[in-house]
Amino acid sequence: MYKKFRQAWPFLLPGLAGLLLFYFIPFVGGVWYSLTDGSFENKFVGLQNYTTVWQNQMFQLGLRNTMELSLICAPALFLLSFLLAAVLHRIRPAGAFFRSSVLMPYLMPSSAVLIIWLLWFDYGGPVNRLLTVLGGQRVDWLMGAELRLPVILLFLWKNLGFCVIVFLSALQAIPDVLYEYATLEGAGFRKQTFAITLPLVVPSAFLVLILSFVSAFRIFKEVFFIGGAYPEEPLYTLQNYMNNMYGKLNYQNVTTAAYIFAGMVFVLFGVLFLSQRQALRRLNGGD
Amino acid sequence: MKKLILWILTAALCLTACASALAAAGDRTLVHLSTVDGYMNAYISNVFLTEDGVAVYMNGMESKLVVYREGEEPAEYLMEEDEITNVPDEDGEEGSFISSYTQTLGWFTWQGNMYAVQYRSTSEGENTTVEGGFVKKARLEDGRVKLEDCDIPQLDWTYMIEEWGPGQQSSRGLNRMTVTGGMLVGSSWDNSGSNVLEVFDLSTGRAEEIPMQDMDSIFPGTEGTLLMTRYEWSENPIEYIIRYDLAAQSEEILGSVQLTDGQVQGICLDEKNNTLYMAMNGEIRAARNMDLENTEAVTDCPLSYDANMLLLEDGRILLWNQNAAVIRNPDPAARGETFTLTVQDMVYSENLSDAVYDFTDARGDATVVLKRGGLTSGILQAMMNRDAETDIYTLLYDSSEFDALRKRGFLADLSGNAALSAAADRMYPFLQDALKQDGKLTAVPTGLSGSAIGIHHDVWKKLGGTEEELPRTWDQFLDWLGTLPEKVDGTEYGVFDTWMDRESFRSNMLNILLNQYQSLLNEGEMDYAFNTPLLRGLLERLDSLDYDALKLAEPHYEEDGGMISYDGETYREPLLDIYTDVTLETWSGAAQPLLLSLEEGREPILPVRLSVAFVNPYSEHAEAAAEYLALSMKNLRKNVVYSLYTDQKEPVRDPYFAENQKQLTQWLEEAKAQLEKDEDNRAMWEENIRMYEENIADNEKNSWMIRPEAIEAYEERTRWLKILSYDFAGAMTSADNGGGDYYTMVWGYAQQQVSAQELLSGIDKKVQMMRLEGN
Repeated sequence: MYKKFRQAWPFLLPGLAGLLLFYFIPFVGGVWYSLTDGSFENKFVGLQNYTTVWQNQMFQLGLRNTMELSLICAPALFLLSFLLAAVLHRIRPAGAFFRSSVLMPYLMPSSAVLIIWLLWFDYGGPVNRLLTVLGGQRVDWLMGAELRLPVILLFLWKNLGFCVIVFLSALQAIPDVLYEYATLEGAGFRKQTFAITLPLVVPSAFLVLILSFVSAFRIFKEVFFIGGAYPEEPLYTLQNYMNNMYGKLNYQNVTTAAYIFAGMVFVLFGVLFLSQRQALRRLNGGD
Repeated sequence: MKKLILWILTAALCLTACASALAAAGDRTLVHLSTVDGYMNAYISNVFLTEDGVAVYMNGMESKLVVYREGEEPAEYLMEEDEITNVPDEDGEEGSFISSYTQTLGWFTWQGNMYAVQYRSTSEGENTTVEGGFVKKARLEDGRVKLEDCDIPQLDWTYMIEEWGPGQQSSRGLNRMTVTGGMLVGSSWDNSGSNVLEVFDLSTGRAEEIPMQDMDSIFPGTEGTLLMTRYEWSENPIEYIIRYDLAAQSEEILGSVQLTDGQVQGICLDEKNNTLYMAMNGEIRAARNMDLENTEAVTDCPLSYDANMLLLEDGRILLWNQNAAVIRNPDPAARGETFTLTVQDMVYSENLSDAVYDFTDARGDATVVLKRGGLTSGILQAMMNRDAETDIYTLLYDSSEFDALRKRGFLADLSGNAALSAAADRMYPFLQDALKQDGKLTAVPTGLSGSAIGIHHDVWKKLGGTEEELPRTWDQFLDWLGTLPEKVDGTEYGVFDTWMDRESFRSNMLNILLNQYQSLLNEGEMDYAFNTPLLRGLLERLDSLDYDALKLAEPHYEEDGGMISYDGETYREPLLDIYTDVTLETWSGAAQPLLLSLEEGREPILPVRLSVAFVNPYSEHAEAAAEYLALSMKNLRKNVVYSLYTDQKEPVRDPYFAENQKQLTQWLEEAKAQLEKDEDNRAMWEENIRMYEENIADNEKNSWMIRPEAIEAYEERTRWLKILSYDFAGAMTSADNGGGDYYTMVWGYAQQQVSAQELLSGIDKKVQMMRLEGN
């Protein structure tokens, strides 16, 4: 489109400047910060912070909990949203109301949702009453490891709508003629799913999976509302650690923890990206 | 030619630069009254302009008018004493009197003269009637204020008289008196407590009362008008600034301020320059062309709460309240080269706010903006941003924020300031240890406090107890507590105050124990854990006390949730007090802290909570900030000074001691003289003489602000005092989203709904997480 690369510069410059100013420089600055002692003198200490943070028990606890919660929440969100999107896609146009409704929790403020959630999972709340009606025992959902379940359910309930919409738009973008042509060619449901639906949905599915992980990594607001800065151990996340370190003026540990985690997320997303490529290759009949 | 022009330009540049540098700011502190000596012996009742200066009317031990004239020493004029007359009531019972009392309500100036407004209250039998509105002209002569009749007629006082029962009258107060358009105006409250304007015509004496809903304050306006502030309470409360026309009784809104941005302390109008000045948040802001949306800070306002404001003829502003009267120059050009020192006082330190006056008087080139309150976490954000805007901060020593700043070296070194260094060297070792880091002074104290269980030794002695019988450890204390009900039975004494209930006792004991235990943990000799056999054991023993025998009842709650703990039982003088301050006590009836160690073989600990001021390491005025702190140290209250310095050994008499002693001695002499003359009433005069002699002896013995024994006792116990550092509870409450969990646990324990085991394991769980995270 442009005859010379030079002609593109004026158009690229504003965007690049923003990227440089708001992403690249703070990123490099943060790296530098993670290599200093964080005192008023801010002395260079090399990788000492990385060793200290990596060996810190609470960092390890936060990282483990964050990973565990993410590995439960993200796949569950991915699967549930795909299934719900497929159902809503089937029942269109009657599903218009449900399609809109499913997005509502996403739009509601977390604090308001949380109050309702706390009432539901209270010791004398509806969930426990239902359990006793079904012959079970009451559970103290808001204490100890049990608190994870309400938090996971809250996360799913709140984020499901957005992922469903992404999946639904991907499903609705597949031209009907492809299915009609495949039917004429004698392809059954299974063949249509693997040859048409999945290859065309995979890019969106990959996006949903990434977004699910991103949301799951950020599962903190809900935990903070319930348990404060120091919640029950099973709910102490990496963000608790970073938030508390910030309160102790320990910025170098905040940045160090953030970069360690960023590195791990980078690796995870790399694996996901390679998996997506593999999946597409297989579905498109490659090796 | 070029050279000549260059020379002229250079000379002009030098002259203009020097002129601004040499120009005086024009700021002046006329009066500043503080409680630095432990008491306030006067307050400013009124300030007004005279023909040639500013008159400050002070009330207190003596009433006087001090006139400040430019370039002269202040001239003092004593007020005539309020007129009291007693005449025999011929119509009343035999020996009854009609008493009348004439009092000055306020002052105003009009047409170059000073006037006092008075009212007279007359008591006849059980009836009290009020007449008022007498205007007297004041003449300053021979060091006295002489009041004389004048041409102004008596003001109609009808609206000012309150009827609060049959035959019972009193006069209302009249605040912020000012004259505008020949009308004397003041604000007051009517019977229902609503704001009203009282307006008096000075030529006819006619009065009018104008209701003013939600009015905050009034200020002088231009002829025939007033300025006033009025609140509008809503989700976003607003304070309106209004010009009120008295003749038309109409108002014009000049602008408004969001109350979230700060409360307007005072306003005044410079009509010539069409500028409104507002005092708020420690600053005077100018709204040029009456544009209240875009105001500019022009100078500081050292007054800590409401401020009356008056524009002087030379463009400077006179500000005053009950504590101080100052003049500020709002013209930036006339102020010359100045800098602003900003103080963020999170702990509301009186000495820091008093130092503003001393500092601005000492440094003509400085303006001090003192801000109170604010989020302590904001300091960490400011440090992260290397923000130099605030020069001095105050915090609690045991707050997590101060702990973080101290550990990371974000406290400027104050050792370079000779006055501060010398002051620190005079302090008790427990304070020096806390305030110095690697030998450098990094903070100065602004206050200290701490509570312990106290014992009234005199009561203990009267109960037949000896010093040797007193407990030395908490275990012994709890055993000893069990024996006390029997000891006080049948005596006029109680173990605790009659109003003390079980919950208050338990929560306070828990607080004292936790603080003491934490001080022990901070010494680093033990594992940092709360759920230990030692602490758990003590709390469990606290659970098993016989509260009924100790007469510590369950608190009663009223229907509206209010608590009544005192059930009307006869008052008994208590042996123990659970809120005894461990710093230097200032009153003779105070209990002495009981020295208890946590277990046998350990030393007693008396934890002290310290508030400190320190300088921002990024401050661009670090030296001036240290100078300011040195002045703030001079403004510390007497009891704090004696609690800090090792060389403060001289006892301090009560401020009224000499006056009282003089009065009593005079009465004694008079009684003795009467005894000689009046043989018929010999017994009465002898009794009076005995009483006066007793009073003189009593005054001699008890009339102390700081008693010699208190100094001795405090000095003795300083070796047990420990500054509380990094309070886990403070950290838990600040980090824990309001600290709900922590308070629920503590309150649950106080109400005996949470066991010691549950409480301590709950605390430990969080404390261990905090500690494992590291700093």
